[in-house]
Amino acid sequence: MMERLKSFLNAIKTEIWSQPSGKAALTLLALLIVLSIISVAMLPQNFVTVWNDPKPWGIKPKNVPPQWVKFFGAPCVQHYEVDLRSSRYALGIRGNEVLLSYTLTYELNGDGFPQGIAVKIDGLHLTGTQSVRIALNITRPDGVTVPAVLTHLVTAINGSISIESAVLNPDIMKLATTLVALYPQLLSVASLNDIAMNYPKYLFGVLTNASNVSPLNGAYKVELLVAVAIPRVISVADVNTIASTVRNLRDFRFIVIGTCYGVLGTDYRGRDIGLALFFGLPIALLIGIGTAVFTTLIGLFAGLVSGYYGGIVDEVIQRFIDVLGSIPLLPILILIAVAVQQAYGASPYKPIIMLLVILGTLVVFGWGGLAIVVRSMTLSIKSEAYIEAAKVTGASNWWIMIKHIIPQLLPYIAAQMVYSAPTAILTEAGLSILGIQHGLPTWGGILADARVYGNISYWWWIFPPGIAISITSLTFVLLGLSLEKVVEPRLGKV
Amino acid sequence: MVSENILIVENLKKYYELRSSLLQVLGLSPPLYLKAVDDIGFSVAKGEIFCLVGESGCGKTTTGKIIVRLLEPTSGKILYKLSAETRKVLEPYGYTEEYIDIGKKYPKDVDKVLRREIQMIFQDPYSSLNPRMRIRDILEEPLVIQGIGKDRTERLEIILRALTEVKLVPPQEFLDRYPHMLSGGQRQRIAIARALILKPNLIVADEPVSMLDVSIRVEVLQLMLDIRKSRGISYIFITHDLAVASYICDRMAVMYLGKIVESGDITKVIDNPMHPYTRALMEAVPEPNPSNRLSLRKVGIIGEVPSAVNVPPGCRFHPRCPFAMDVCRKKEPPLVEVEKGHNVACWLHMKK
Repeated sequence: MMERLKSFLNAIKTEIWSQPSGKAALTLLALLIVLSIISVAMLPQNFVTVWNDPKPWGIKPKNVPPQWVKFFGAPCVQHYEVDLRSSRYALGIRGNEVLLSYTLTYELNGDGFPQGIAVKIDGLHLTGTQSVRIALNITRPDGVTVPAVLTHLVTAINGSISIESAVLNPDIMKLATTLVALYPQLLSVASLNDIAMNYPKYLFGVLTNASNVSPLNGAYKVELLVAVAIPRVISVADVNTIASTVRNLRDFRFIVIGTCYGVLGTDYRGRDIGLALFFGLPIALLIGIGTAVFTTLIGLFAGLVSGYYGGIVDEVIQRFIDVLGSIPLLPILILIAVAVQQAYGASPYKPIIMLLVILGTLVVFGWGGLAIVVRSMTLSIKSEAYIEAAKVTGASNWWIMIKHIIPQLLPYIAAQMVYSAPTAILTEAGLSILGIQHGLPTWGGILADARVYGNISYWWWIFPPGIAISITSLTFVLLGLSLEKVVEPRLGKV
Repeated sequence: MVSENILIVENLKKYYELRSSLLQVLGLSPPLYLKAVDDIGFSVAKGEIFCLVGESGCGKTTTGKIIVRLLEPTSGKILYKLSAETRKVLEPYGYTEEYIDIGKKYPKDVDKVLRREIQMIFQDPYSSLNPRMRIRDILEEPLVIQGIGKDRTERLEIILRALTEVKLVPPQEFLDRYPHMLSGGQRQRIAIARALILKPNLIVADEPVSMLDVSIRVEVLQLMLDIRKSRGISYIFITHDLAVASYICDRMAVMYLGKIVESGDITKVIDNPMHPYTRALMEAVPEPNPSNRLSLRKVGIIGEVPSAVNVPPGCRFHPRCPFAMDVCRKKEPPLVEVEKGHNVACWLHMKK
């Protein structure tokens, strides 16, 4: 049995491979599977939570195209991130403060302005301190130092300081005031408010003529000062503690937020779309293959039993299919999705539960058509004389179904399964667009976000997931097309 | 032939219920019945070839299928004489009688054992072999189902022997072929091999040569005769071809609309057909002599076979019978012995 199945599969493979469309399909399928295996292996455990949490994405550029657009002449300011934990710093003591000062060089060369600057600190815990002060000065290429671009002061509560996760941004009004003090002529092109709202433009720009601010390219010297105040005489141990605490922070970085990012740009929260596409691949395959497999299995079983046994069993199954077929799927799906949302809204497993429920509903409503076809095929096969011949030798019903009927249905079933895979992927995408969202970074989910939060010009947000869906669907359709030729000549070559 | 009967059929009936109108579906008015087989009886002796002859639709195939237990009879007895071997197997189940009524239902394991005893050869060797299975698998299937042979090699040996028996030599050459790679005659030999592989004592052959080329019919018939000689098994041979029947049969029964109208030893029936229907069948056999082709035959019967739902009253043949009398329209003639080993159901021959 095993060896026969093997030779059957081998024959199918050879048949598919003999056609150009089959070659393309198998190559694409292999590629998709390899990619999704890599993706699953690389998937961080808490990815779904991180994906839906706005915090980690706060330091990323928002709504920006991919990095490679600059090769096509589009304006692009490189995203700049420095991990300060591993950066060199100068250690100093002034009064009762331990000073850690970092000096960084940020190179701006582009025809645009960054989106902003930020400092991110995660997991800072200090005891026995009075306060922690962070101050940032930037010296521009024209030699002017902008002091206190970003300042932040944390005072201790009960002698201890704790920052779980913080993204520090400049106080924009203060920064605007500073800028105007340094460059009074700025007020001729913009109001103080404008300057505050668009501070990167004025921080990294220069007034070229009476009305135009253009980027000031060159090296910016960034001085970041971390001052920890201690309410006693500072000892060597204190300095060591502070230095090691800073080195062992969960995250500590300085960011100049660029205007292009990653392989496929970012969305409205600054989330990397490339990452979502990559981790969405196994989910898409799971949706496609999972739904296809279950739909086909149930359809095959129901159709087989219905056609083979006939009578009341047949009647019950067929009428049940009629009822299922007359229930509108979409409203039911929306209803179920809302119900699940309500029931599991707080659960961390909500996205997965919801996805499974959606898939389950697709399966429940999807097997009817196949069952009807399988039934009619079974009806015609079961009247063949070789079925009677098997019965005469004492074959049981299961024997006849497994040995004689299913092998004949198999090529058709395989083609059907392959065709229902893209349907499921497209349906899931369609549901996401309709607002039935589960929060998993599926391709349909990305497209749905693009519809709600995007803009028609954000092509990197619309085309890549669309193309990914198309390619995956195309793979299955090509596979189905080449399988069809296996089905048609009744496996002449076997 | 003085020999014990291997099969005795008594009052066998197979009616199909027809519920066509709403009232019938609801059970408010009595359903109509299609009387496929209407009260027939015959017996088959050990080693005998018994023929069922008749037009298509007369119920001969239905009778065959009831005997191999593909169909359940509506009523009647089909007593089958168990072989000594099978009796021993069935004794623990409480079946100790010499004859067993195979028209009844039996528990699964008893049923399986009984199925070994009676096998069938089907009419169309193009559809009775699964086109997706190799000859090896087709012949192995009954063995696997019945649990014969310890392992593959032992079953292979049985298969090779069966192939040799049906004169497909060398057998190894046929093992891995698919049915479509064989000729019609070869396929029918495979079908015969499949029927023989379980060592049955009775084979129902449903028009086994009607789909074959005329040139190979005799070979297949001869093969069946040879097998009878070597194994001593009995056949129920279903055919519409009187030439084939006269070649192979020992005794025959002519069926018309679900009823046996004439039966007896083959020589007696062929040489001296008594029922008008049998005579008409005899006259319908093509004339082999070309010089006679222009002489118009007298076709004895008129009209078509009536529907088995509305069986004519009295003798069911009377609307087509050139000799129909008053009594034929009112009373159904019983099957009576008119000479030794020759029974006829016709009022014409009742007076004798």
